[in-house]
Amino acid sequence: MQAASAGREQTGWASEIRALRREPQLLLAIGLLFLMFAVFIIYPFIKLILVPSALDWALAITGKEFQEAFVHTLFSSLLSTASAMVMGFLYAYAMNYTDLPGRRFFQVVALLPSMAPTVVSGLAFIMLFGRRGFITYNLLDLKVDLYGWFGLWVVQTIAFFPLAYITISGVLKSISPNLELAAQNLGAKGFYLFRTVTLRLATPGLASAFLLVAINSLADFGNPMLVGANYHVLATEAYAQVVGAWNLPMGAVLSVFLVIPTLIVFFIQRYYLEKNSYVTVTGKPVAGLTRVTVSPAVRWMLFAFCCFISLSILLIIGVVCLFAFTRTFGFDYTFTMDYFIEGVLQSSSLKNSWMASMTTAVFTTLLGIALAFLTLRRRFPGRAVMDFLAMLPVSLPGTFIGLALIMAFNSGPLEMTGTLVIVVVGMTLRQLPVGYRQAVSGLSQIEKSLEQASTNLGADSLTTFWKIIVPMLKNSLSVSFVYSFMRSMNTLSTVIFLISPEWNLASINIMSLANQGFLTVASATAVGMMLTIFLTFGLAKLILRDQINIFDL
Amino acid sequence: MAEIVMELKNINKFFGSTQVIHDVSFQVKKGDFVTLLGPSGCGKTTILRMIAGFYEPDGGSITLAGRQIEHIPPYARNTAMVFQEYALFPHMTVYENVAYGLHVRHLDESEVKKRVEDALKLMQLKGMGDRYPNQMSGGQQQRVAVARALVMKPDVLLLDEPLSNLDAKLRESVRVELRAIQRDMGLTTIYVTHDQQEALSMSDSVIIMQKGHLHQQGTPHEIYFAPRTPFVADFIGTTNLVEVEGNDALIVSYGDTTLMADAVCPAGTVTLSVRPESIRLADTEDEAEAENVLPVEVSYSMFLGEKVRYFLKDATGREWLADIFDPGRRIFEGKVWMYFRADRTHVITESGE
Repeated sequence: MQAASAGREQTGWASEIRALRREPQLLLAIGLLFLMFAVFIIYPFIKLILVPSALDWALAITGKEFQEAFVHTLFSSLLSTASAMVMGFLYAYAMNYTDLPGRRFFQVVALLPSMAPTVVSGLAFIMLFGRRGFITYNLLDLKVDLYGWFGLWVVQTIAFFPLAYITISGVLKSISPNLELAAQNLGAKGFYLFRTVTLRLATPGLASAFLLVAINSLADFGNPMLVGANYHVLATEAYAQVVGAWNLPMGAVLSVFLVIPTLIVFFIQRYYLEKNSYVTVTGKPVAGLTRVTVSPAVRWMLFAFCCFISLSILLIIGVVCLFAFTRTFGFDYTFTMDYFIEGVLQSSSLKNSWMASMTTAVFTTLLGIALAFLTLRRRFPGRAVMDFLAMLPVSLPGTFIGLALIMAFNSGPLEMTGTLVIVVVGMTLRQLPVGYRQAVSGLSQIEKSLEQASTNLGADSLTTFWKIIVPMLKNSLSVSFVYSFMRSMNTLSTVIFLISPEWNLASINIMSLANQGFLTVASATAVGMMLTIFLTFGLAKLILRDQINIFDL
Repeated sequence: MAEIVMELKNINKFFGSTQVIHDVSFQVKKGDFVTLLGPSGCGKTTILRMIAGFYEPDGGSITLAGRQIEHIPPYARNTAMVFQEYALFPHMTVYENVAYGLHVRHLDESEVKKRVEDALKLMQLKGMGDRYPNQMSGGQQQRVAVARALVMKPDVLLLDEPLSNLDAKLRESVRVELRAIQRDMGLTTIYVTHDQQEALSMSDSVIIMQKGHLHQQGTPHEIYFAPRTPFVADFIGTTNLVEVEGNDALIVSYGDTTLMADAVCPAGTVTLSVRPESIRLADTEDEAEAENVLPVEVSYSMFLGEKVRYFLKDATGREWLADIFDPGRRIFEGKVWMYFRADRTHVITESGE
């Protein structure tokens, strides 16, 4: 036995590039993806930062109304995020830790609002509690003005409740019941068990959920526009600068301000929380274990709470339907199809939304899986950069993405403004992290040996990808398909700057109709939107023949 | 003498800055069944994966069927492997799984069909081609995994602890069957296991590894009776390893007394291996009929059915194991004499590090 020769593992670029050279297709795919990132992320963002002059920056920093908007943005979004999180947690806890009657019903209802743009809660708020609101004016005969930060808080809490609930439910589901059983076995119970085990295990996941909701509410545009009144936030200020004053550089500056808090949040999440997460997906379903850990009193309190939330949601959807199908709800209760015909059947916006969202869903799903395959299963220089760029858009407010894209592509060889293409690009960028994340989690559950078996039997990377990875991730891919479709249909802030007169979108139509006081047509469009999403899901289920139930997500 | 079909030369491998394979070299003859044996973490699976191409060695070369392969991507080698957890594609039927590699090679459909059906028949899976892996038992899945590899007619067949997920009875029968098929087809095979029974019963040649070092390559008989290092002697079966002083003679000193070894011992400290089954016991010194006789005391004994295992202590305080087969009703106690023949001892001069 000879002494070991000195040396170390041959890592680094040299050996990785050597390995790549043997698979030109892989090299090509990596090159194309990096090119895509360069053109659609890096270039527009650099452009956006370079467009404003020093004067613009100075003006924005010293401008009193902008400082005010900055403070408003932080205050209102943190407030509504906190309340949405508390409600989402209680609801998710009730769904996952109790055997309340009607849990199935509660689960379905909680997800209904995500079938429509968040502005629908603002729209319902106006119809119920506005100056001529059905409850405040017709029923109670009050002349109150709830617009401003308070109204915005209520509306945003409800608007972001579903997102908070879905995310927290995912966190709670991934806690292994075995740990709680072990704690019970050691004598822990009730609130002590909750505090020392459940909450401790859930904390990193909850923090991530908080950040996710916060980013979305920071950037939200529709509701501040509808119910914020004089309470201006950065997103609405930027819109006023760009669309109202046609001051693009100032809009750019404001959207950069919007990015700063979200980027901070993104880095905290990425480099701190993920490393400190205890939640592990064991992949072993623990069958037949129900975690009933609450006392009867708590159980009924949770039941009352879930009823309250579900009724509120049903009230919102109900009032939207009533406004859509009666002549003037509150005054004239005759049934009419006029608004539905005007807002849905005669308008091309819903069709445009559908086309753009479908295309986006296809792109994000395929890109997500390709990126996940490369970053998880192949070694090449720049792997970490690719992972970073794929996740980055999650932290970018939609208005920022939209502005960056119009600035980059309103002239030159890649002129795309005024087309549906730029809308699809914007939506795809925004949803890419969803598809990527989903694919990463699906892929990490597939044994590496399956791919090795394929390679071992003579298949190269491309064959392995199409014949093994894609079919095995079918369920996970349909989830990201359905998700990015739904979110693209509902997005407002990303596309607000990207639409053009020929290519209007339904979500924007709802917002602007509501803003101009056409509450009935706005409601009808919202109903059309929900129907479209439902029908598309039904169709996707028939075609994909998957086991996915969107209400189980 | 059969030709050498595969050769590993001075293979080194690092994970980060930790060296996991130290200068490993060995040869494999065509048609041989070679087992890589060692405790977990010894590097046997790493070696197998380097042959398959999932890892690249950080030094050294691998030659297979006349071609140097260490820098060839895994899909371009003909080294079909049976994975420990089978790695059957869950979204494909048994037929599709077995045909996968042939389809990748774009073989004629009729040829694919013939070869797949032959392989299924050989593995007693006839008529199960339409099933999915999750509709089969562990043993059947294992057969599919083997069929999928066999159908490729690999230059070398790689088996990564393929029996470890089967229950003890099934393992026994699959072992016999696998060996018969391998012999009939004349397939060169590398088999990884940590089970010495498997290694001894199936192999033409066994390679013992520990902590990334190759300790010994030899026939099962050589490995068992002529271990080259203390580790090999201890790992295969059970043995008494005794440090003695060699004197360039057959006679070695042990404490105040002397023992006779099977071969001339070089001067200095060497290790003598004596298997427990080679030791006999007697009540008096006169009854001890062998070159080496030592007075010992029985510490305790264990009745194991076909044998009794004794824990003995000699004059130096050292503990010995002795297995007395066919013991009848006789159980030795207190002060007794133990004896063993010189040709049943084995001198180990290498340390193995």
